[in-house]
Amino acid sequence: MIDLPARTRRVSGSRLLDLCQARGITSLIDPFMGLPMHLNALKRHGIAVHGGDLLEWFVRAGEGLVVNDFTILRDNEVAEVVEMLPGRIYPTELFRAWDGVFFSEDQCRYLGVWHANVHGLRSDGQTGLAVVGLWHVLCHWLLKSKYPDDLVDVPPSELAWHYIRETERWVVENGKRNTVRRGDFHATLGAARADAVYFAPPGRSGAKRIDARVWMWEAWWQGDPYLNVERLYRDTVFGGKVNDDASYDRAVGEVLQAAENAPFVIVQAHAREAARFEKLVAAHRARVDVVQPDEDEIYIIGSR
Amino acid sequence: MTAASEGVLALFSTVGDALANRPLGFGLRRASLAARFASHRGLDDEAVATAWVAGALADVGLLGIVVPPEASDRLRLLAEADAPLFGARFVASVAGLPPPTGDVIRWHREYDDGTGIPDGLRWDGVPTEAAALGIVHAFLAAIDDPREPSSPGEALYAVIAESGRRYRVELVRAFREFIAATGTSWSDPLVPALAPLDEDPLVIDLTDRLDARDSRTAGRSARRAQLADVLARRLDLDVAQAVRLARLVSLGRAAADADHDDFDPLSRFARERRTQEARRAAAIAAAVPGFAADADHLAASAAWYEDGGVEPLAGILGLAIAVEVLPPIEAPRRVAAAAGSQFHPEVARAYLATLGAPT
Repeated sequence: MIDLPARTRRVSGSRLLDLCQARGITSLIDPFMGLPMHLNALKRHGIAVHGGDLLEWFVRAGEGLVVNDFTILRDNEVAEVVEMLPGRIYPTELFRAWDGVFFSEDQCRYLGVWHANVHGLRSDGQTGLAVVGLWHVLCHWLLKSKYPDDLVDVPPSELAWHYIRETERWVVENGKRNTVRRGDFHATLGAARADAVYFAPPGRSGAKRIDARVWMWEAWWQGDPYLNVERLYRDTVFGGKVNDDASYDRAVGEVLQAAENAPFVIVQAHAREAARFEKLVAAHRARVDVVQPDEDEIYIIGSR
Repeated sequence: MTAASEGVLALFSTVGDALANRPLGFGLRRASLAARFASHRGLDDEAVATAWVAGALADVGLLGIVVPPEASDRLRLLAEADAPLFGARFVASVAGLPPPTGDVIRWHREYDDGTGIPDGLRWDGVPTEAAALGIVHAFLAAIDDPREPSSPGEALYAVIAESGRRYRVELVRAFREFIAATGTSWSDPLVPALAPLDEDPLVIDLTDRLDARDSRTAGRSARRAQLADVLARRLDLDVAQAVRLARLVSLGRAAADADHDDFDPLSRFARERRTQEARRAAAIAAAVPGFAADADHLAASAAWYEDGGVEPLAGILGLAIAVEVLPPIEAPRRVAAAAGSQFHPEVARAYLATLGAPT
């Protein structure tokens, strides 16, 4: 059975909104956005948001939830995503490698069908919504394999339908230009200007400890069940040798340096690393405020 | 000291019920059940108190949300997604409440699979206490569903069916054990000891928030209270009670679909509307022990003097409501004309005397 780690970092859009509103911040960049639900929440409240990530499916998700202002999926379009279309030849063997390891044969077949259907969608917005909706199905299946007696059985297409509909409820426009891009933090910070740069530094060896539900979905999107996402991070600032304090601090410092054009930088930390990050932010900013709603969430806010 | 279930927190909770279209008292039952569930899980007294307050005030954020009746489902969803956030902000502004309460309210509608509001947090990113309150809320909401009420067994099944999707598996298991272990006593009230709150400013805050839900009524209860103060002094009545009642009249506006209050206050149309609002205010007050004594006065505030049963305090309320809406230049003439029919004559005389108008 696959290990589903229980230490999810809480990235709360509403909390960031409170921080932004208290400081008059009207635009924000997150160069390590992950699944950008927080950017969607900020967008809903009128903040212009820009995000970046190295994993392509996160970027696709951002195209559905962050960039996309209007596009949703009609019933027939959802059906075209979740069901096998008559007359079409599907790569049903594409995820056969996961059969019996993580998923059942039927589930692997659906993953192949959905992979083909989603890649055939007409717009980036629709693709992003479908990617996020179907990712929930993958998470459900993995959780079901861990707790087989606790989760109810739902047919794959019904589950997929439900989650795509759930996802597209959050499509909203805010009258601003919002962007996402695939790339490292330099590319993201160089491509957009904003009042604030927010980031939650990845943990040490973050690429090695990446949640199965995240790397598997990148593998699904790429159509390669053997994909090793570690290689995506290898040449990045947090992907190399950051196991010692000095290297890790240097990596965080590089991001802070690249964020110097933004009037505010917001670093989210846990209690155990907050003091270190505070020192690092203080080295780049004249003023540092620490907002600590609880031990899991500490925000170190640097300003000029 | 007033018990938490009888005082102003309970009033806020009941207003939350009214705004969420739930039976009055739902929030207090949710508070008790959340506290019992926390206690069952072995949490300390402070955490149990937090669970109670968060359960009581979970819907208070609806005070900050006004959705026009013609709004689409999508707009309604987007607006209502902010209710937990507004609730958290409100709780953070009240001194003396357990500090984690705000975050429990902020995230109690998040779902384990990441499809909840307001942030779409997922898995253990949702704080356990917030996730536990979400389960309690869902259980009671199924029982109290006005369209299709469920038995406790059916409600529990509805929660279990969402295990691993909306609700965390371990918490659903714990909740199931809790309901089984407590038999029928899960629904018994439980009120933890809480630090006393300064109630008067909170009542003022509540009524101001209710007024502010409509730009046409913003600040109204403060103006009513001012007039009630003057009239009660002239008539040698209990000034504090008159002022408090003049504010509590705003409870009548605690409804998700309260219409604009645009009618001429002396018209028959306005009377119907006023009666409806007075009944709602009285029902909310009656549901909270610490405010139950105010209910009769509030209910009588819409009555016309000629129909009988209007005592001076209710008369002050009726007149303050009307004067607040009438154009200032017309008020003395129209109050004088309606003295003895719509308005209590002594109250009308006192009002005219304060203006120096002929009585």
